[in-house]
Amino acid sequence: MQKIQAGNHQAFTMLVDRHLNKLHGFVQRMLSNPTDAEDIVQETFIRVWQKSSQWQSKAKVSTWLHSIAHNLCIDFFRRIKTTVNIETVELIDPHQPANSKQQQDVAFQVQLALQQLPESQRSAIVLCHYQDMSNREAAKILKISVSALESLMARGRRKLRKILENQSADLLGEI
Amino acid sequence: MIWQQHKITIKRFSQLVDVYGGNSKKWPLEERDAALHLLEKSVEASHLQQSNSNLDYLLDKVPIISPTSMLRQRILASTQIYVEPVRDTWQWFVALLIGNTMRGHLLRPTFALIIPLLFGLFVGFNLANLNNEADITNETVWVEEEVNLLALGSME
Repeated sequence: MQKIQAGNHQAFTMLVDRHLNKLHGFVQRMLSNPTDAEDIVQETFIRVWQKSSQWQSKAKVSTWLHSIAHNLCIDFFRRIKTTVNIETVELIDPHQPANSKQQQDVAFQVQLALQQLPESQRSAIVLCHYQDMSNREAAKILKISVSALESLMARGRRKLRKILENQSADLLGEI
Repeated sequence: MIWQQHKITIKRFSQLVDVYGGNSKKWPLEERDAALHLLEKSVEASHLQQSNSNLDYLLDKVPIISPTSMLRQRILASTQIYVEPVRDTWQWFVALLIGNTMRGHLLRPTFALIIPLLFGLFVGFNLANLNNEADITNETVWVEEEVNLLALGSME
């Protein structure tokens, strides 16, 4: 990171290679729209390059990256101010081999349920469940306390259970 | 052992699985050992963990979507056009003089040379004008004195 601060583009390329997939996973799960997700990931890395001087050596690079990406996601939500549109939720990766139809259905239903959560609850669940962040790291990214994060997670998971309740037996059966 | 120092209650365990799910790897590090110890002993804790595992299972079914191969190239290309960050004042000054693009490499040093040249020309012209004005003033005074002398002479 210090090399990036000194303007070393090769070091920046290494950073991109190391964090691109994980960061893309985070933004993709927040937005569920591949095109917008890629734009936000690109903007995140541009900001990292431009504002590398703002990084402090105490901060973990992945936490800082997620923090920037999260802020951009929030800006995106404010800009579009739309509710979940089923048609925009895309899950199937054309580059990966197709799973069974049932598994795709399950994934679609769960992703759709995630999109119905308020942004803060979704962020908390995505960071802790999918990004394997510790509760402290996730709380830092969301700029809240650990207890507030736990509250968001509990409410989010309860809501997810409720949304998926009716389909839960079918979904689990399908798998 | 950590769990012996920080035992957790069934109520806290219930909160823990409610928040972080049934997968013990997701539990906070500082409470994990104590929670696992409770899980070994308590049937209720085991039920609580199981009831939360279904949701984890469903969440894990959402596939990881890879970025397109173009994204990496786009990121690297878009960052190369931006001004590279500089470390200190000297580097900033050199970057300012030399520029970061091919056009900048030509134009900026040219400007850097033209500015002192123009300044020199400006100062030079102004000094020359001042001297001319001074000469003209001196000449005017001398003519006036001559006229006065002539005028006085004629009066005599």
